[in-house]
Amino acid sequence: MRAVLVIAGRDLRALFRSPLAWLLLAGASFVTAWVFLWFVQGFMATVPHLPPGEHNTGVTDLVVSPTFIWVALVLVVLTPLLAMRLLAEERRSGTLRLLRSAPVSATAIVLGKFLALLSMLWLIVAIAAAMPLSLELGTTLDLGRLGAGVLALALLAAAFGAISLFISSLTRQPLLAAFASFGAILLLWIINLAASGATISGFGWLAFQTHLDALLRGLVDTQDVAYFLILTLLFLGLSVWRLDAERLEG
Amino acid sequence: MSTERSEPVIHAEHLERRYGRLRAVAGLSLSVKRGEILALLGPNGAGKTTTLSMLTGNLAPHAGRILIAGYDLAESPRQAKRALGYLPEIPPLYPELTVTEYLRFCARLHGYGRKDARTAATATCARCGLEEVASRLTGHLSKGYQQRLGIAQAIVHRPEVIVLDEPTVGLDPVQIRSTLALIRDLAADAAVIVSTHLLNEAATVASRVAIMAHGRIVHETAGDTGATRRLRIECARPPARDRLARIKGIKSVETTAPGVFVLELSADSDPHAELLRSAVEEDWGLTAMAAVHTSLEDTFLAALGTRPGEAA
Repeated sequence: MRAVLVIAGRDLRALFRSPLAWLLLAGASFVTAWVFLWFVQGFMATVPHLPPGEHNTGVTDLVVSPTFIWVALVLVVLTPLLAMRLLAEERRSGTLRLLRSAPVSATAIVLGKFLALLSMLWLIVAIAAAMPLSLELGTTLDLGRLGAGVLALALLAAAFGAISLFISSLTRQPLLAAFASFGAILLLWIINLAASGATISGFGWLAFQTHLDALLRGLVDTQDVAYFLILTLLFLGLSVWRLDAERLEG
Repeated sequence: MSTERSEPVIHAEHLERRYGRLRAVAGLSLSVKRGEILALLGPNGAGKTTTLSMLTGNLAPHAGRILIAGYDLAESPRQAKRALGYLPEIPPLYPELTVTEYLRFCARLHGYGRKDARTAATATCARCGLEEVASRLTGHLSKGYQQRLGIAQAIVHRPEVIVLDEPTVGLDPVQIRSTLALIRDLAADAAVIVSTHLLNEAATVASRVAIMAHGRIVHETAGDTGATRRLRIECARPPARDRLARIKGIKSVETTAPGVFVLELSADSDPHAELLRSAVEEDWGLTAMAAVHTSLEDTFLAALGTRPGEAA
């Protein structure tokens, strides 16, 4: 367990010493803030036309949920970029050999990397969640729904992270890993389009959007939570398997 | 370090490793005791790096087994790796970390606590001559320092087995000397395996030299201990062969030309002084006296099945 923290600590340090992390963090905050203010402005324009007494419930619908959808899209783009170096770079520079010849299991390596990535992603989610939360100063928010939204984003980030980490474990080219991860995440995002019309289908269940929408509506269903957790565990497991298998293939 | 101390701390049996149809390592066995330096010598492509990758757990052998400090590397990898330090061909450095941060990270990977890791990093810096660059980023170090840091990384947790893959590649002659001195120093309390394709390097540093070709050890020989084993003398008025053979420390005498002798020396006593005194007292008219190195090169080329002069 300590090895996991040691590895995560080093990765975070490396991440924050490169301009990339700061740039991405700034970009994410900027986009979220922009979108958030845009939705707030839209809401302000709509309020006068709402039936009296209704505007307190409307703010979560009209501002929080749409903002969170955008945060999810930001994560689609950022996660591959933040994750691309995790294992690909270690392989390219030969430092993977350092970890492999240390008394550390492949599981600890994968979990350490994942923990570092997840801390970064959750920081982005926390910043994004703080913006709608500031509306609490002037209006009443549906905090339960906000909580469900944050949970959705946190789970989504974990799943994206695990997928990107696995893809980073397949190659020694960080940029290639980023593009491939982006493609994979995008595919899982839009896969439900293949099954247009059907409400519950295999494709529909596979897609991120189905489960994200449910959670953003405030419906915390075990099935949706399980979907994200299964996806995360599956890809973490695949990463461990990949690191172990590599020793056999050479 | 000639005393034999206990069991070998690293022991490999019948290692085998294939890449597709190519057998990179084919039935290799070795064992090294504490205090010993084994040089794996071989041409490029002989399977040295593959062997070292297997010994350090980076590659799984297709057959055979490896014991490090009594632990089977395949069955209890964590215990085995705790006793292991490894410098790969390219030093595995993280360019964003400073030298001390990097060494602390390596120590912590091996289970050191924060405080112990700090102490170990400082001590290792001093041992490897890295103090003046301790706060520099590893990515900004010169090649020589990077290589040193690579060795430092391998020894920061005081392992019993140290594996170094071509530790002097890319260094200048001064750096090579100091690196070899450091390696000899490491062998004081560890078993060291060094791979190299440089004959003189293997000869100077190793207590044993294993010559590798086609994935196996084809010949094993003692390293050059610095003592001359054969001596060639030329005399204008040569003494009888028996006279020379009577000198203590001379095992046998061979005449290669009139007045030219090649003397085989025994390991236990040095005949130089008596030889010179006799030559003066008995007026042999000594004109030349030179050490004949049974060079490792001859052994190497013979082991590879190439006659001297044939090699490019």
